[in-house]
Amino acid sequence: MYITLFLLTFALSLVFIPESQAYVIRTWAFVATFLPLWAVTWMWWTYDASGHGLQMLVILGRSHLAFGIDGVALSLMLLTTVLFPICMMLLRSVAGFMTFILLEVLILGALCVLDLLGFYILFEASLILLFLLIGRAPYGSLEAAYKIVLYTMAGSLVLLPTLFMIYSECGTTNVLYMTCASNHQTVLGWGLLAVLAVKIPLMPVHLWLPEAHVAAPTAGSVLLAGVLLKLGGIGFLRFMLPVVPEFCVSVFPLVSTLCLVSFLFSTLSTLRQIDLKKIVAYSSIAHMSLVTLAIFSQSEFSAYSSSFMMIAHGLISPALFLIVGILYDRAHTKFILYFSGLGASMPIGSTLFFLFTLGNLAFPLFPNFIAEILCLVSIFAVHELLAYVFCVCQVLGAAYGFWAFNRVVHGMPRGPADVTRTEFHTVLPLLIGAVWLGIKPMA
Amino acid sequence: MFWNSIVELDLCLGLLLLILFGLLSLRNGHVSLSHIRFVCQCWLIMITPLEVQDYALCLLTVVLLQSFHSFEAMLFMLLAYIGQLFMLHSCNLVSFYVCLEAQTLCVVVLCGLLARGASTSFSVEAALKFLLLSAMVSGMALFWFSAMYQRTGSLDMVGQETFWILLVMLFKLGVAPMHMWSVDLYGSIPKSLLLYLSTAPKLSLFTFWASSWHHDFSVGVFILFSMLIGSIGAYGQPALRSLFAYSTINEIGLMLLAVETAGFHTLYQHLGIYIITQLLLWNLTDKRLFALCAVSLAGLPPFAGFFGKAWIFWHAMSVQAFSLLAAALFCTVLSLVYYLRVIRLFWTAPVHTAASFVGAPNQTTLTSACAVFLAFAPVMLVKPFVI
Repeated sequence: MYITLFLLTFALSLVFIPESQAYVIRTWAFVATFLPLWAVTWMWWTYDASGHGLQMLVILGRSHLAFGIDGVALSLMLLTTVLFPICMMLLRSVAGFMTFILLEVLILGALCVLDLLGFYILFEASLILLFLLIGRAPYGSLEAAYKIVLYTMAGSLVLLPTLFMIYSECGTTNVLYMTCASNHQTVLGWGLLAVLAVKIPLMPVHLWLPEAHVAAPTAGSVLLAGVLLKLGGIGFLRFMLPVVPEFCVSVFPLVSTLCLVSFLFSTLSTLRQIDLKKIVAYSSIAHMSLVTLAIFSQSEFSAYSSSFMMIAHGLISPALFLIVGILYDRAHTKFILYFSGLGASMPIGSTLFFLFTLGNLAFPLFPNFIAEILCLVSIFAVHELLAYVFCVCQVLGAAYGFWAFNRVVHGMPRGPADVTRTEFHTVLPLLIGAVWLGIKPMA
Repeated sequence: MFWNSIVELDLCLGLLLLILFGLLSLRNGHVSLSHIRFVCQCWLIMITPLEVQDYALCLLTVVLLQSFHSFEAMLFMLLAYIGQLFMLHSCNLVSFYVCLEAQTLCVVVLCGLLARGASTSFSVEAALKFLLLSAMVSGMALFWFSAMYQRTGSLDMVGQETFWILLVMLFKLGVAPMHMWSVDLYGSIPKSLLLYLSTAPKLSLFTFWASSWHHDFSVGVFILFSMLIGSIGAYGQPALRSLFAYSTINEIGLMLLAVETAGFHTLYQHLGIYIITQLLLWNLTDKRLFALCAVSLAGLPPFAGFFGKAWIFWHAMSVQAFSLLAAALFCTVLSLVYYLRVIRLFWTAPVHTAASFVGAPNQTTLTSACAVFLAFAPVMLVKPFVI
């Protein structure tokens, strides 16, 4: 664990050195993002899958800052370290590389920190970087950048006094010891729910996501969809369920209603979108609402199913964003009516688009299918009607997926050039991951 | 009233010698300004400290003296410092008034004195505004003090109605219903005086409040006013100085919250971080570093400003000042908007460093000193976790 952070700060410091040669920086940054990948793979290798507790604990001195990983965090860290080299391949400016390396440090830290104050600091620290990323001039939108920062900041300022309350209750903010909050569960729960509901977008506070995705560069969208939404998920799993379990049970009706509404609204909104990125963004909201519902159902499979769904979503959605990014590079627009008949001129591209659209719909042989079945099983154990409704509503997912695919790929050919080798290699890891996990999902 | 008359005598003699030295050396021509400045700083360190708060004020004044370029300006700084020093320890209404007026009038004179070139009329206008407003407030306070003397026959600060002292202090701090002068003043004074005005009066007044004076009047109204006006007032500001004047009003509101909840340790921490941030902010020539300082002021982790605010909120939480805390959190979100505007303007515009100011070597010393003190993340990061 030390190794990961050490490697990353090492990478960070070394990007400072050759300031003038952009090519060298680019190569070095790209290589540097592989270092955490090796470290996390090593951690995966030494992880004991039969254990139930947190492993690789690192407790710093007499402070209550602690890092540790469990299965969920480990798989998410693996996903993060796989996604970052892909992001690096898409970036072009030195500022972009620095931003992303800083983001990688912060996100990997946030995924394995066991201290609520540490989690708060780490994911707040990524906000300014996201603001700069999304507000950047060429296709950035300032409104979107303000939205993401203000929504998340408002939610987290609700968390801040809650954090202090936890501290005065339990004497620590370390989640390993925070199990004594039994009389203030409601307030603490609402505080945590506020910020995590913004992050993993649930219905009323999801409005930042579509705009942020549209305004972000491709690498930013990949990062947002693949990793940052999962911070909310891991926040739920690691901080809410152990600390305020009774609150989670009592708020389940509200959360399940919000999830259902979120799922339906975002799925139905997608049918009217004309911006390709917004379509994928709204589908992200739909998937994450299913994850949230699975987490809150607290049944036997819930943690496993929600984490698997997060991984699956984290492979498919970034891939879709990559394909939209490829199209955007060709035509400098994301307007869906502009593209038509790409099947004739981009055979590889449309094949990839088809495969990932199938993944998005939770088609069998893709990890999303398995994940969704498991999530529905865990919801079914708690609330059967809800699970039935979700099953039926999955069809709507097929509606927008195939509609988007149809508009773009079929029809009169208008011929942008096909997917280049570089771009194909950018998408390739996600394709391999999706296919492999779909056929052989491992623990 | 004062501590010992011998110390007082020593002070005055030292000051006299300084004046003589300065005048003679200016006439002589062999002694440069930096020598005089060094002598002033040494004198400060030698005469002062008996207590920690005096040390803080002394250090701050030593740092601030770096940016002054004429002997008269330094002399007025030293006179203001004497006023502040004695105010820290006064327990008598008259001595409080005299010391407060001493530092105020020195600031007024400095406003006019430091006028340089094209900005002369702005500085003089600022000096006049500040003089008129502060004279009015101090006059009202003096009237109230004399009315109290007539009624009770004593001039002791303890056990009196404290409302007017509070008003005068809040005026000098720039708290909201009485904040208009600070917005105008911040925009028109030269940079060295701005450094002084945004740091030293706040330090001295808050130290006086925390250590020598007990208020029995709730400042909740002022807190709410300050935070709301400081958060919303900056929305349309075109000038950087007035934007940060409003952010100062916001921060003062937050520090008043710390005083209101009697969390003086949090007050000092936040004040310290705030002063260092201000010193750093107005000394930078690089736009991107300026934006980073703005992020720290906004209270975003992992910079030090977050921890200053977090401590104040923590303390407010523990004394259960929930409504004030909720207002403070709300206003933090509001104020985030204009900080984001500063960040966006300074990071994404084509990067070129602004023109450096006159007197670059002094400025570099000051900046590097601040940057050394301000190891932003690590020092403050360790603290919350180690308790």
